[in-house]
Amino acid sequence: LDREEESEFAAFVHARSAVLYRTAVLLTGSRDAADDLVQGTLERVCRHWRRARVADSPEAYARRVLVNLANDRWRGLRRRREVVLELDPTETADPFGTLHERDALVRELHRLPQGMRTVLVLRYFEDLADESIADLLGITPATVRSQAARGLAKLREEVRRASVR
Amino acid sequence: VHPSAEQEPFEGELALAMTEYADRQPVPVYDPSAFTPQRGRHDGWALAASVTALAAIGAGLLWAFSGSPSTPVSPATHPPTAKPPTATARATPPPTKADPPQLTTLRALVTAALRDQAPATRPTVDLAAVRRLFPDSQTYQQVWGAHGDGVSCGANADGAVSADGTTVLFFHGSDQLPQQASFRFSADGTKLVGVRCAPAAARLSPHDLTLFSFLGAQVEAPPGGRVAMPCGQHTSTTWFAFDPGTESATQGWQITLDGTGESWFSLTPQGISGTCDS
Repeated sequence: LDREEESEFAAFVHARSAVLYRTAVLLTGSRDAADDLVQGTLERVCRHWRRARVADSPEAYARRVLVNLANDRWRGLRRRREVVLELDPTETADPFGTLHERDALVRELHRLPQGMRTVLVLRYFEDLADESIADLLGITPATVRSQAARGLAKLREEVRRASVR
Repeated sequence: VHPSAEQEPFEGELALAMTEYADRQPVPVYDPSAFTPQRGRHDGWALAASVTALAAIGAGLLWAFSGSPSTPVSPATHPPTAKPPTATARATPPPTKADPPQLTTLRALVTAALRDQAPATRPTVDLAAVRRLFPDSQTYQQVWGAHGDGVSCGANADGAVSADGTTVLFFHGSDQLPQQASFRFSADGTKLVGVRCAPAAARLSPHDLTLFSFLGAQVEAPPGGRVAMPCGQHTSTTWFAFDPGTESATQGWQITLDGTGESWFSLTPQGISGTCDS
């Protein structure tokens, strides 16, 4: 990278790494795994910065790398039958109980199959349109809608069960 | 299309839950310079004529990362009775696919170099086999250096890790060495044709510390005593972790100890776990 490209990349890291990290936390349910994913993503984005900077947007390029790495990680965990998706504990005070309920929702989110979870994170956290999600994941918009509908149904069911208990 | 304005209450609650959860996570600070090559520190590929020259200064370039011992231990202090492991530990079955030739070549080179650098394991190194990893004697001599120190960029190492089968980070005990080596291979991956040394680009996360500190403890006893390997009494002198099965820094790495006894360990923040199958 020349100096201008290095400067662009540095600005990108400063501006976007937090967003990438938060997405990674939601995709993995683990701060450590998210940190690994973001480091791997930034390393690859840097290596291909000349391509990334002329893509639709470097952020979209990085998001695609991040999602691919998350899927690779998931496949590795499945292959080795070591699925560890425990949420990191948080120490935040919760005087009103709402955080507890929402944390429960996120816990259920992390119990969803990887494909559904990824679609929901991209849809409701990244606020991406279904067509953009489909393009990013290499699936059809119809599949995105199907995965989202099934994921939401599962979440609703789990939340309903939890409220009955 | 997903118009946010048309979200049902449950979907809105889910979006809020994600946002609140993600916003509560402390975000690490990422240093852009950790991912960009150091300008002007080295240029291009160079066979190890230059690498070997680093040997004289290699020992002085050791640096320590946070939480690790700051004083490197001379290989002369390693237990002289170390033997290759006799049992294999498997936490999970190893990959069924054969290693690509490039990885096989790299593993043979790195493990031989680390063994040649440790007096306890030096007699086990087959230099003729090492020579066959190179296309000609000149390349061998240039890259190998003295007792394999050219492979580790002139420094003395007893541990190494490679995630991509090309670039290798080196360790002495649990201290990372300042230089990393990137290797070039013949088209079929069976020969080493060059090495390039550069300041180590990898920045170690706390998760990484588990891998490096724990394996470093195999060759450098911590104050509380040695951490036992899962299969028997063997204390490793050298280690090479490579080909991770996952993106995690602490799980799924394949590890070769002392150049033999290929094992498959599961690494967790609590240490190595595995079961012996022989």
